[in-house]
Amino acid sequence: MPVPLCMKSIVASPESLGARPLSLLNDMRRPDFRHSVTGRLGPIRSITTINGPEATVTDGSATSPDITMPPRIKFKRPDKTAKHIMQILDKEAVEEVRKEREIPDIRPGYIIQMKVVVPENKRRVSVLKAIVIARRNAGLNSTFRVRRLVAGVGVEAVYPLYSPNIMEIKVLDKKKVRRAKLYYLRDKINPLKK
Amino acid sequence: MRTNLKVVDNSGAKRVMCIQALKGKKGARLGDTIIASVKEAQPRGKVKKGEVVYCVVVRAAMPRGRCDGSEIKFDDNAVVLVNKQGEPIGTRVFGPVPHELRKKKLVKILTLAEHIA
Repeated sequence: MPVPLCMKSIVASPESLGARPLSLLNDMRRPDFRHSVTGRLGPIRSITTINGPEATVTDGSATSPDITMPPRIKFKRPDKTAKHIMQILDKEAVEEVRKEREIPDIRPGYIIQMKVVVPENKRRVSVLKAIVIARRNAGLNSTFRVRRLVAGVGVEAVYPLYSPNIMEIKVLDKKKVRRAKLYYLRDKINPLKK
Repeated sequence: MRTNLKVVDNSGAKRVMCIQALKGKKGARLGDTIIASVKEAQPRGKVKKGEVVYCVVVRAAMPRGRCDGSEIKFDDNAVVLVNKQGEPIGTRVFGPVPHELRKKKLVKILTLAEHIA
């Protein structure tokens, strides 16, 4: 069975007018994924499986009793479908990483201690004690900004949250803040990590 | 060009002004060498005011991306005076230095540093 991975397959061609629209994600490597998308009640609006005419007819005929009228083909615009697919892929990647490592909830105002593996050094930098001043949510590319005082000089660093270089993150303390981005801390040089 | 930088070693200079970035059209970044002119110096030091020296940028307020996707930035702009071969003139380096110097083969500064950030 071919695995279509091109955008052209979304557009309904004349011969598939009676059948369901083609899917992008007939990925045989992940059979469970199909179920998560198609396991909803009712006709699927955007993408379906490409199992063949016999399977799609059984899916559709369960809900639409009128056989003489052709079932409505509703499908999203290609860019909307693509965004939806990207969202699902992103969530999957995040879950995969979360299964391996335990990543605690990191919010601005937390004081964390992290162990980072620095690729240039090949050794661990333990005791990176810092305060989180910002967090940016972008799925797998979520990053957080961290500020600490090193030898009398303030150092800020941005780390990807799901980076494999971060060995461990431990939350030491939670400060009460009323902001999402604590950039005002740059002006304060209170060494007590306020 | 014309950036005032702090000197963080004990070579005698206090402030230098950049007059040329050696590599790169857009200017020098963290870990690059520059040519600078000494603007302010301690009375008895190895360099005098008005001398033209080579320096290595060890702290920059502009964020520098690392190969693993992280970024680092410091609160000030600081520099260490070196000679043409890349060896520091002073004998001590104050404050943290980044890992980027290792790739540039400036190991002497790394060994003298207090902390490698």
